Amino acid sequence: MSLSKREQFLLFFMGMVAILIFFITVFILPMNTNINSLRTQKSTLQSQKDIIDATLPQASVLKTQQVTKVAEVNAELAKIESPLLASEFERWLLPLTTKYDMRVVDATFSEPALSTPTGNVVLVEEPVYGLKTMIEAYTKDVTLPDSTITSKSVLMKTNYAYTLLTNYKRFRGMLDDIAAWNTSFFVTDASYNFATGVVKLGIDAYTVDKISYDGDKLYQGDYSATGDNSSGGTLGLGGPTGSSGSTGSSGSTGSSGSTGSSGSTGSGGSVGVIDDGSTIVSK
Amino acid sequence: MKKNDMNLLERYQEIHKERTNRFSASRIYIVILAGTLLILGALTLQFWLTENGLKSDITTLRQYNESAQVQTKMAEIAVLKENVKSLDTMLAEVKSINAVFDSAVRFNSYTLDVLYSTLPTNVKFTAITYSEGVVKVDVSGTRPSDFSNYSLRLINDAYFKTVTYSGYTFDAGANLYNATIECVMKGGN
Repeated sequence: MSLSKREQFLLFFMGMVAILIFFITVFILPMNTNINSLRTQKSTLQSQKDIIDATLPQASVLKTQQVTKVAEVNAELAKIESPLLASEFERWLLPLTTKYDMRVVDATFSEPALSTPTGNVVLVEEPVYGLKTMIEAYTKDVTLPDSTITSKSVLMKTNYAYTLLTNYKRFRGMLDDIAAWNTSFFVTDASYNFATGVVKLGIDAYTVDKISYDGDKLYQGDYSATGDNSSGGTLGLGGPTGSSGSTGSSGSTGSSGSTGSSGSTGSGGSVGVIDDGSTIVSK
Repeated sequence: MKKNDMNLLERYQEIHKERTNRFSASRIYIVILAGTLLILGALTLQFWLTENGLKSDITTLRQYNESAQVQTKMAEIAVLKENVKSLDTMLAEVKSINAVFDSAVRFNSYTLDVLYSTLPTNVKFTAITYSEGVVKVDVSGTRPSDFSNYSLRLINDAYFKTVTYSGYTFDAGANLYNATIECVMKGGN
């Protein structure tokens, strides 16, 4: 059987097309797909490598940052006391009752509870009414609403409540000593009855756990608290602004501020909050 | 003279046949086929080389990225980043708490001194009660004007945010007027 030239050409053309299809289907397309996939993989891995190469040099910077941040956080945390037990808190307060020769009538301590500090700032709301608003708008003398700083953070709070017998001057002195602690202990309730000499004192102690306990306090040794208000009396309106502690009807106290018959507190009369004998010492 | 020598047609046909054979269709097909196969082979080879090159690059990159040393360092850095982030959050929280403490009301002798220094001579304290930012002063006086005088003195002193009282009573037994003056304290900073 002989084929015409046209048939030969068509046969050749079909053969070529078959070969092309075969190559494209069997080799080129799968390889091309594979190459595309590999290129994507390579690109992803290259991006990862670029990130790694950019990240690795950050290690030293991050270490320095971490050290700096820890120091900053510690400095801020140092302003707040570490969690303490009632027995440990008493090492702060009893030296004051001893210093001021106060009779501790009773003491009540709450369980530690979670609390958001408020600062005890009472917001005063000005009444708002139409005419006032118009006048303020006219005079451009607008009264801003009362505000205070707030925080949503939560701390541990324990309330320590004491009933004491003393005179006004010593009550006043004690408040100053408590303020001088400069800690996260706040007098939230205090009252003085001029007729009976009864002081009711409520202190909220806010505490927080810390990253580092360097510089924290150790409460150790025995402390012998005294104070029976024997030298004080109740004192009426004597002179609450005196400088060093004259006390009421019967109890004059020395110039150095040591008080009462049994409540001397060391050479300068300062009761310390820290480093007072063996009661509270820095770690 | 031979006649044959003059027959050029035969020679022409011979040459033409040779030429036709040289450029015959089958030869052209074979050349085209060979060329196509050569091109396709070269293309396949190039694809294969590219594929292998990519595989090699990927292996190298993967080895680098997944090497224990790099992974350890990256893990360390991730921990460091997490720590720094966590410390930032802590710092913000603690600063906000300390800001509240700085602005907190501190009841101390100065408050008592303000109350005392503004006290009219014929007015006496009965009791002083402080609770959560508010000081209540129980006072007694001989005249009904004593409490307004005392309140105005405290208001003019401007130490307290507000000074108010809600009336007074007369105690016939003691022959004294009694009142409670309420003073709202200002915060710290």
